[in-house]
Amino acid sequence: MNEISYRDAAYPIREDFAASHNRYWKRLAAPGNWLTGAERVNVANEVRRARQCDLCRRRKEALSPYQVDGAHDAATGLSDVMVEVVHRVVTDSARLTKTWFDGIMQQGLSEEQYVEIIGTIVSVFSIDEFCRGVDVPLNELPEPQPGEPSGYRPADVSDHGAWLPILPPVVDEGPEADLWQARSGYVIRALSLVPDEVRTLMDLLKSHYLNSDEIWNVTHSPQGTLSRIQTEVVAARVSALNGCFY
Amino acid sequence: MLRESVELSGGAIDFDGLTDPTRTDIKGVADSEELLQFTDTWLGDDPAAFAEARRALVEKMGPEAMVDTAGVVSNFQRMVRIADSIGIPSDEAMLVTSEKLCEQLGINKYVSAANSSQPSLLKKLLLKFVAVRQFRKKIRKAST
Repeated sequence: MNEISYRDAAYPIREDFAASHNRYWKRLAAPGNWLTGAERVNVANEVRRARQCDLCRRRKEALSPYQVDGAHDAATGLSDVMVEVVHRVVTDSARLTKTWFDGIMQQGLSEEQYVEIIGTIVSVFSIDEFCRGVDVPLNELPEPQPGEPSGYRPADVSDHGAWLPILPPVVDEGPEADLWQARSGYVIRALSLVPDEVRTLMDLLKSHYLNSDEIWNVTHSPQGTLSRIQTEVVAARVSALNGCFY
Repeated sequence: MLRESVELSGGAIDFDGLTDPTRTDIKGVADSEELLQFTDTWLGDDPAAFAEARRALVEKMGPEAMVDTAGVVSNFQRMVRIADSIGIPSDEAMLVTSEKLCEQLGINKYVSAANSSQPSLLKKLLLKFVAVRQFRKKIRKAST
């Protein structure tokens, strides 16, 4: 696999971006907890295909995406249900409903597989979006590594009001004690059915936004180029344009 | 976080502009015109406008600030998809803290608002007097 580097970019890009992206690319290629390396890289390929998918375009334009039938323009041999998850989350996540999620579960995907797919989608999408933002080519996807998923499921997950089980706000002992400090909000815990997805989330969070323990200091400006208010205005605008309540 | 940040800085900003895509700047936020133009065109479908917005942001705030803004936008492109696809509710203390602002900005009409149910009146009162105070105290302690 080629090492990700942004040294030739037209703009000065901090080294920690490339470092965190390289760590994720390595993880992407390896077997996860519930998906093989090949499945994970195929999810990444579908993330990139989703924007060219005719069905996704027609659904996005429709008053309701649920009125438009058809087949996705898939790039890989992933199952139809996996492709549906990837394409919908990339192109129209704001209109996902519990009914849609229940339909996905009825098609044979496990909750753990679903979470690992979501974790893979959002990490790849975020890194690709960064590249688009700073006008550098998308990074070449890694070659999948052989091996089987571990099948690890944390013992302490339970119903906390999300569509699937997650860890409680406080986890101060056991194998998941490293995930966050003290008490955590829902958005950090959302992927905790597959704890490695939370570890990736926290790693990318540091280079793209803030270290998790800096979040509560609302006057802190980590890089000094944007004030915290400017940072939060941008964050709020992205959430609003995406129609995200959270 | 934005509201707390504004309050602690002693300033004031026009929150209404945040969710209105026709608003091109936010009063009270430095360089907001370039920041919003960059963000809005990023999520739009006009590559030429996006390139122009990037150029304008670099010119106004410098290339390092543009790169850091790209980090923030790409981060929240991720966070919104996590929230939407896992169907997480809002934390109750956060719901109570931001109740009026959500109403003011029309955020309660978003599809994903259905994942969060408003606490009962009694619970709201409890949250206002206990959880919200603790939340603000935590922020103030971390921010001083």
